[in-house]
Amino acid sequence: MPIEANAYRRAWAAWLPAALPLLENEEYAAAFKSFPSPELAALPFRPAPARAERRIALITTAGAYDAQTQAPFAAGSAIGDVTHRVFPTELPDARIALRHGHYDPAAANADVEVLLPRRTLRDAGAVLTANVISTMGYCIDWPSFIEQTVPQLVAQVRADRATCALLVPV
Amino acid sequence: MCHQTVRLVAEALEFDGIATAVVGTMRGMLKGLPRVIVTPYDRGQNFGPAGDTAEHAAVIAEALALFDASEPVFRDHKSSPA
Repeated sequence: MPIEANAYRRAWAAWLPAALPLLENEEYAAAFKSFPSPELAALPFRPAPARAERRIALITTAGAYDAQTQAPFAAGSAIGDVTHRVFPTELPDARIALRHGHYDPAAANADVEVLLPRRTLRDAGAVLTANVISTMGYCIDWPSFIEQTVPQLVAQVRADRATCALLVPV
Repeated sequence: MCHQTVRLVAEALEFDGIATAVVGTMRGMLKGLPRVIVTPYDRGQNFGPAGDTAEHAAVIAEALALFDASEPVFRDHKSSPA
């Protein structure tokens, strides 16, 4: 990882005490005014694999999960949720639930393709991996997200033998 | 936060050799990523209105085409006429 997480965690921990009451009062602009961002290395452009080698992982921050087998995300938490869910790409629409709290899920509840376009991708000829990965994008604990969640997501993408990823932030 | 955390994930994947494309709605938070389409829809319906399969297909076609690019792409998707 190009991020020196321990230094970043110190900066984030210094920010949190004053921000937490603001977050609890949903005063997000004030809370995030001084939110510390990690220093990231410059991202070089690398071409994608040839079409025949493209195997796409679908990743969203929509707070999607399998309503029959997985716990909802902690949408009510002032600091959000750093966990993630992995569920089969072939999961029926009716089993996909959304828990986030910071966007209106009405459109996705009516038609999950607006956020997880699995059918549309297949109809376009895309080859998808076996699993969809979701986080809940309202996640304030960035040090934990960077140190724990992101490596797990990358490992899942690798395990699913993806060569490409389509990311859908909400 | 959602778009920003996706940025963290995209950067980690790119550094690990996985090519990424992002379809988002908040353009200011996605600059600097290698392949981005910004759609004009509300948060929570990145690929277009519910039930609008033609629009979903149009956005997906643009998103898949991003993987053919030989240089960074940051593009606004124009919604299809109703």
